[in-house]
This record gives sequence, structure tokens and C-alpha cells, in this order.
Amino acid sequence: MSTGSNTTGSERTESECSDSDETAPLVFPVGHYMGPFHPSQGAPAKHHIVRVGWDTPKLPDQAHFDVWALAHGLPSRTRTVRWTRQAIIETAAEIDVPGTADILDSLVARGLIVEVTPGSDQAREFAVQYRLRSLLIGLGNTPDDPVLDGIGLGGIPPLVKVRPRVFEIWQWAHLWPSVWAACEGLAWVAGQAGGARPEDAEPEALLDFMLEAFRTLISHNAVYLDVATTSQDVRPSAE
Amino acid sequence: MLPPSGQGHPISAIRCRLAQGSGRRAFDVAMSIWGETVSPLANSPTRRTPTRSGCLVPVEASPDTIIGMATDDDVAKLLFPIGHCIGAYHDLPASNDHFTQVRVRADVNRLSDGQFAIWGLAHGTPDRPPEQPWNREAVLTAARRAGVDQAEQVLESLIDDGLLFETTPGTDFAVDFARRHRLIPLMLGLGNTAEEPWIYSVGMLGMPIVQLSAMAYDLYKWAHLDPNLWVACEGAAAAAVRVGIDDPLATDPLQMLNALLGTLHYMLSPNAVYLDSEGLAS
Repeated sequence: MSTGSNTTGSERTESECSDSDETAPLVFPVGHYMGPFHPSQGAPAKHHIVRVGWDTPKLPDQAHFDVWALAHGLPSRTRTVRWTRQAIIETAAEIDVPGTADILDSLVARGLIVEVTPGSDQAREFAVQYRLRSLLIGLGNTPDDPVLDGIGLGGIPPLVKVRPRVFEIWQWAHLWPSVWAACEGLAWVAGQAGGARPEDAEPEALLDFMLEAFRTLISHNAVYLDVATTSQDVRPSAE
Repeated sequence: MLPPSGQGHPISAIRCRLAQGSGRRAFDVAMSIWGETVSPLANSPTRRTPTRSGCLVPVEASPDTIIGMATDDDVAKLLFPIGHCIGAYHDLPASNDHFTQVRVRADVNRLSDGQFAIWGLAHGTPDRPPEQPWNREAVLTAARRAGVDQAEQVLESLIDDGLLFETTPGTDFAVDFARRHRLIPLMLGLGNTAEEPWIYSVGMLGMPIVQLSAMAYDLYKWAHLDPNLWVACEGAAAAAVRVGIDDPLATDPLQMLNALLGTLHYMLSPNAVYLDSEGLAS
């Protein structure tokens, strides 16, 4: 989870990474971070809040927040390391986060972290169950660097610069109610354009690429994963 | 969460303000994104001369000047930008040929420099006095001072294209506006602090940019999940009633909406939120 800074990220995909375990599931955080909650003046943070759908599961302590934050990926490492459970455990150990494996289990059980195996049926299930939501604004490209598109706050250098295919995911995928619907929609659009490559015009192939792109975007807080939207998805009424 | 008894705070209702120390950054965020891609502004020597407020695009009209040029109705009517900034598009290396894209629902609008300047200025300037409404005249005054040609015609065309929207808080038109639009967050929630637990911040980690009251933060967190902003206000008001809040600014959706619209430019100007047309999956 990247902190805001004036440093400019650059984008590579996880397929270019060198982690030896190529079969381990990728780990992604779920939810929109809503910060610590101090119940009264002078009181320490009771917990950290994450919004997931119409729910706000809590991160009960700093260790849980640290592990959830690490699940976003460190921009400096996700270029070379597949962001798996093991990568998170090893990174957490460097900053002395206790009990990372158990915390990961807890976060998975509470829907704050999801594990995905690219190319599997489980990846398709993931894509149906979750959706993307985009943050920040697009800064576009520049005459000096027309290949990469910036995403950021404006007024300061881009927080991350990405290739057009990744930028399109940031720009469009959040308009669909699920990742899978976005894959189907974007693949259809690519097919209509004519001359599209299979990896752009086939939803399954597009999903594989999306999983790679998610890491770049999520690690810079340019997007987050939320639960998929359904037609029955309305604000909870009084209980 | 309301302020402790006897410690009424200026943002105790639907209010928001810039985080301490973030004014310069937020102002740059709000303005330089527009200025960077607007060549008439980018090429202007005045743009490179920061003003007292840190503004790189001078916006120096006083509230009196603005009000003096407008009717009462114009003053009451606020101007809001619609759409998500997608950024500049340069087709060729080293070429100045470009346009700037703004997405509304599933449509991408290609804006010229002048259009983008007006659309950007409609987001407001975070250092404006709270009592100064960000309306058509305020935007036109800022645009003229920045050297945007035919600002009024450009503004009208953007309204026609659905990229700008005027509405008057406290009227049925405001409810109509809320029913037509959604409020989408673009930053992280940073929660509250032990020092001022009644104030909530949004921004990026380590970079608080806008401070909100609890009720405004609640809308920031939830409103985009509802089909439109009016449904969000109704839902938030109902929730406030359920938990026993008796402040009409929190329990009456119309009062909540009016208060939100009155301070929404503080969230729009640093791109903490954007307004989209309703209609797509929430």
C-alpha cells in the first residue's frame, strides 16, 4: 500500500517477476480504507475501518492493519516478486509484524483479503464475486512520454505511470458490477474494434492480464477491490 | 460522531475544510492540473508567479466584485463540474496537438484547452472565502483573469453537454440535481485523530487533504453505493434517525443536501470526489 508521495511509480506486470513459486495464489486486499477510529478525545485508535460493500469490517489492531496494507503490495517489490502469502509473510517479518500467517487467515475468513490463482476456475469465481473501484484522476500522457499514462492527484507528479492497457482497466473496469462483467465488456469492445489480439478480445485471457494489472494499480491505491454489485444490493434498512 | 458538548466546532455539521498545512498542495492539485494542460495558461508568465495564496493561476476577484456582477439568482445558483478527469491525450511524441478527456457515465468527452480550463475552474478554489459561492460569475471571473477566450460561450456549451450543472441549494432544483448525479470518492478515508475525534480526513496515506465532519465523512464513505445522491442523503438521514441523532442537518435529507452542496467545492477542488451522472451500476 503506497503512501502518497512525489515519487513516480513505473509499471511492470507480475508475469515479468522472478519469484520461484509460480503456482501460489496471488493475494489481494479487499475494501476501501476508511482510517483509524478514535472513539473520544485522547483515546487511542479502537480499530481501523475498511468499507466492503455495505459493511465495515474492522482491523482490530496495528498488526492486522499492517498485514492488510502489505497485501496491497510494495510498489518497489511487486515488479520482481509475485505477491503471494509467502511474500507478505517475509516482508512482514522485516518490520517485525507478529503472527502474520494467522492474521492472513483471519483476514481471508473475514473477506478483507482474497487469494486468486490465475488461470484457474477459482479465478473466474473471484472475478464474479468482486469488482473494481477506481480512485485518483487520470493525468494522461505527455509529448515527452506519450507511451505511458499518469494516474495521480494532479498538481504533483503522477503517483504511477502505466501502459495504455493498464490505464484502460483503471479508466473503464469500475463501470461494470463485477470484474468478470468488465472482462466480458472490455473484450467485446476490443472485438468490435477489429484486429484485436486474443488476449484483448477473450474474457478469460483478459482476466489473466487484469490480475497482473491489479497489482500495479492496487499497490498505488489507484484502485481497490470491492464485492460485486448485484441487483439486490441496496442500502441496509433499519435493524 | 458529534463534537464533545461545549466544544462546538466549525465543521460540526455537513462541513468540510482543507486539512491543516494542505492548502498549498490542495490548491495546486485543484488548479495546476487544469493549468498544466491548458496551454494559454501554461504559457502565461503570470502562471509562474505564485500569488499570496500559492495559486499558480491567478484568481484574484474579490467576493464583492463577483457579487456585483451577478443577480441574486445567479449568486444563489452554484456551478458544479460533472465527470471524471481521464487526462491529456497526446497522439504523437513531441507534438503539442492534444485534447483532455473527461468521462461522464460511459461517454468520454474530448475537451479543448479552453473547455478544460472552464471545467477545471468549476471545481472551485480551496482558498476562497467560505461565504463566497462558487457560481457562474466566480468561474467566469477566474477564467477571464486566466485569459480563457470566450469563457461565457464555453461555459454555456459545457452546460449543454452535461459537463457542468447549475443548481440552487434549498430548492426543488437541488433535489433534481441530486437525483441526477452520484458522488464518487477518489481518495482514501484517513479516519479521525485522538486530538480532534470529531474531524475526519480524506487523502492518501500520509497526505490528509480535506477535513470533514462526521456526517460529511459518512456520505464520503457510502454515497457512491446508492443509485444517486438524493437516495444517499435519504439513506444517511434515516440512519441518523435510527441512532438517535436529533440534528435536522443530519436527519432531514433536504437540509443535509443543502449543507453538502454549500461545501462540496472543498471536496471537488482537490479531486477528493467527482460527480457522475446517475445510471450506471453503483
